[in-house]
Amino acid sequence: MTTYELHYFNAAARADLSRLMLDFAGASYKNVLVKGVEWGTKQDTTPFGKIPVLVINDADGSTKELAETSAIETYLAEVLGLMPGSSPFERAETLSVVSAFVDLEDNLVAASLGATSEARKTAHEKALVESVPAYLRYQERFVRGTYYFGDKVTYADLKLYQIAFKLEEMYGASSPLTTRAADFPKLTKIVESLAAGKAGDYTRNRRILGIRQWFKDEWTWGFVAE
Amino acid sequence: MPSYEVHYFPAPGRADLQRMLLEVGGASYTNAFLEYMTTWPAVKETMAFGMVPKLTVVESDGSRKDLFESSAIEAYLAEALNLMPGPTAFERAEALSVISALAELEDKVRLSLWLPTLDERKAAHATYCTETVPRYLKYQERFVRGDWYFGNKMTVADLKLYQLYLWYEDMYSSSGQNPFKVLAADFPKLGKIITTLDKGKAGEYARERRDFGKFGWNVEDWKFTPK
Repeated sequence: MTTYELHYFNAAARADLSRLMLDFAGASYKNVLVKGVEWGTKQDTTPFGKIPVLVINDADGSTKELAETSAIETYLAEVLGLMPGSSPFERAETLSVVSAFVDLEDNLVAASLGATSEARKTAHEKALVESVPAYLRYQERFVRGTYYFGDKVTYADLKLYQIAFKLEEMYGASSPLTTRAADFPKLTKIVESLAAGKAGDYTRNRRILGIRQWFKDEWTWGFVAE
Repeated sequence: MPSYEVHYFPAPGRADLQRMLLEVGGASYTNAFLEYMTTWPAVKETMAFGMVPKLTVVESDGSRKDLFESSAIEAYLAEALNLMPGPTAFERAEALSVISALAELEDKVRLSLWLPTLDERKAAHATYCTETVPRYLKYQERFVRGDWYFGNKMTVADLKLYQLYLWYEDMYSSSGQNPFKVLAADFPKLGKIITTLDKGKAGEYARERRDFGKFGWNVEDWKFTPK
């Protein structure tokens, strides 16, 4: 049986969804948490000087490694049965949903770039009313069944779920998925269904939040002591 | 054999790599240009996520399907046009990891484009070229596993590198600042890939069919502007 190691900091951030996918699919995996003080020596051992890195230990004893969040998630989606089908087009369509969600995430990162908490608050409040619902509206329109691609949970649904709890972590009850739930019935149903099952169990019992948190009065992400 | 339509603005932008894949892959394709002020607003809502590029795949029986988001389109075309290192999930994901790392480097310059004053823009570009770029490229240079990124076969990874080189040429050729040229001695393997691609179909695309004469780098202002 193939076993996996996910190497990343003690934080959710760019490892969050990969961990959820591994757990959801019942894969044999472990988290290798990299401390800040270790990163200096570890950095040059990674393919592009960044983490996460996925280490794949095949049953025959061989090992290979894969870098870059999007590549890791794409790979895991395929090997863990979390794509809607095996054809290149079906897999690419799944990647397109995720890519659009990453665009939304980048939009929220931009809102936290302001130099003062007032500036950041203004940017986030604007996003909550304008860009976030706009992104979600297209996603709601895309959903093609019980889940994004019909009857089966895929990478796209798990990305939505990861986005949903990121929005909740950042905005609490002001998350547009909550305040405008009536505008997003299909997305809401997917999130609720996942929360009630294995994904919810993972989130409540095994999800690593670690040292990175949303500082709501500062309207930005930051680190707590390790 | 399917044919393809690339729906985007008349600029390289986020459609450059997919056009290059289609050209190098020998596919039949047309550009369906959108004009930002006129035709674009009318069709925005028809796009799955409100954005372009859109790739339309036209099958030989006439049926059409649409794909959105440049990273998904590039992954699809690389696979469909045999520009991946191999057929397995891992091989394809490795190629995507190179693209992702190069895209991250590419994204790091975007903020510089929008800084409010000319002096700020010039300074930011200078720091990008002398500090940020070599920091990323040293890992890329180390990754290359032969004549091409993945050995003997040219793949989307090599074409992504070339697309980045071309964008740097757009911005920096007038000031002689293209880091691939300035730092050529530090990145011989990357340089060789670019030189080889420049001499072949990718270079021909770059010279003949990449630029539509509508936008260009404004040398005085350090910005892309309409011509």
